Amino acid sequence: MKPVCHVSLNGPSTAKRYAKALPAESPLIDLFTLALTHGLMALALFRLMFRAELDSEDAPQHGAGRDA
Amino acid sequence: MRPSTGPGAMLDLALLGFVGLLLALGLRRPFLWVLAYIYIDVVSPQKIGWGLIQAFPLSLIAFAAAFTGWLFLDTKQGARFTFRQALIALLLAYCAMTTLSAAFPVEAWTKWGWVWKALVFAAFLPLTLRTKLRLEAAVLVLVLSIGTITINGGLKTALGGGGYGMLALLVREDSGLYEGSIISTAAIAIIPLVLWLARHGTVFKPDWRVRLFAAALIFACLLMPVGTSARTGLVCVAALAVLLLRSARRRFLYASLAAVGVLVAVPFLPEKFTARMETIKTPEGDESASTRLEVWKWTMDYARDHPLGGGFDAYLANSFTYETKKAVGVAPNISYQRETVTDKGRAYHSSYFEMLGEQGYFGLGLWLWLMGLGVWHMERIRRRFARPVPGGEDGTATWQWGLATALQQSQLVYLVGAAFVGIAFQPFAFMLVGLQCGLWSYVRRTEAAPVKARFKRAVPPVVLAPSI
Repeated sequence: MKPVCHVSLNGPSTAKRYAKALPAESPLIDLFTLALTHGLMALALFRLMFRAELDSEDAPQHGAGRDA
Repeated sequence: MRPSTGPGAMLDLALLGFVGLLLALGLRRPFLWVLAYIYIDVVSPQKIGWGLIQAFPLSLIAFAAAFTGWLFLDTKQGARFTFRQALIALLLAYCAMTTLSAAFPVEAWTKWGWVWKALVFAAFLPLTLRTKLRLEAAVLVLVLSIGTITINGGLKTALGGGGYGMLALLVREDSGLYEGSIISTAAIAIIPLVLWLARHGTVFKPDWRVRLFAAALIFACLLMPVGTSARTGLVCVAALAVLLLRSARRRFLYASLAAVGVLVAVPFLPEKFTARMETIKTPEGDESASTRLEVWKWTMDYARDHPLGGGFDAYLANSFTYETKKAVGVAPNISYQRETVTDKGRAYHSSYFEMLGEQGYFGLGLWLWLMGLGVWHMERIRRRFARPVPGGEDGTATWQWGLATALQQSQLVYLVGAAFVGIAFQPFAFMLVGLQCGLWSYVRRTEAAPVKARFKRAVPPVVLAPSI
């Protein structure tokens, strides 16, 4: 009998086969990815902080009309 | 777990610092806590970290902050509880009932532990999405969060990594969005949302940098099925290609470019990927594909005996013997070997059968209703905004039409992928549902009186604010 590998979220159909997997040899890719996306998220959140229309559309908005 | 020293500790501190920043910014704008929960639920920074960060219940902290922030600090003006949110609540209650009488109580309670959070958040999210900017911000954070995984996988694939069950994505486990077939589905599903942000975004206004990033992100998303060798992903790509044809303005140009793109890309695809995709045509030659058919047959029989469902993880009851046919040798000297395999406790490999086996006919019906209604609601918004308006403005250029189209396409791609993977309760999918409810509620509130839509592309009458 094959080992049951669906031990966690959603019962994935693929068993772990990370013996030859890449990440151990590519920490730079991991760090680059994390820095890029988290940097963009931080910038987005920083910009949202100063947008009054985040909480109320009665506030002055960027642009106007239906496609604002 | 590796020791929390050196680079690992630095990574932990960086991730904790980011989460701390999110929570701190929320003190001024509580809605940011909702975004923090989306980020934590998708990226799972506690799994990426090596030690310290795993000690913090980040998801619980973010959810508690988001809910209390909304309850005590946010205005409720414009917040509505829609019919689909009621369906989510009903599904939640029904799942609780089947969990109480589950065939495998221990496993069922384990799954219940994350399913209820996904459902509660999906019902809660639309209450917070009261403005266009909040809708955009939620889409942006969802896209960048999934982008964290897909950019990582895309880069590794482009550099020659990957393979079936071998592409490790930031973490060393294959559950949730870090599982190959699931991330392939999610990656393809977010492409319409990336396109929408690149066109209608206001946080990052569309310019060459945004378009360049969007193009790179879409390319990374398309590489996910290649890197994971997930056949489900390829099916999702095909489904998305057809769906985009419907909304493309220059269909002939789009179809031509897509055809050229495929012709150019095929020679560069790794051999292991094309070999695995070939098994789509001969499922009996592959154990994973063969078990799908057997599990589906078993589930239909199981549902006949347990019409109310067997509770979460009822698939553990299955056991069956089947034959696989494998090609041996090199062309033209290929022979086929039959092999008898006995398997137990195989996962459903399909969300539809997952719902049928776990929640019975009623649960499956509720889930299908919830999903089908989402497609229908987005279609109604599309048709309402596609009508010409006085002044000659093109309705399909509005952000509402674009977002409804993107959310509909994302959900349809998910529903196609869900036919082959058990992701019926995947939090990412329920976030799409939450976004749809938010947009539906927003459009109903801002676009006038609740009169039923007429689905004709009518000559514009003197109607300033027709309803949906």
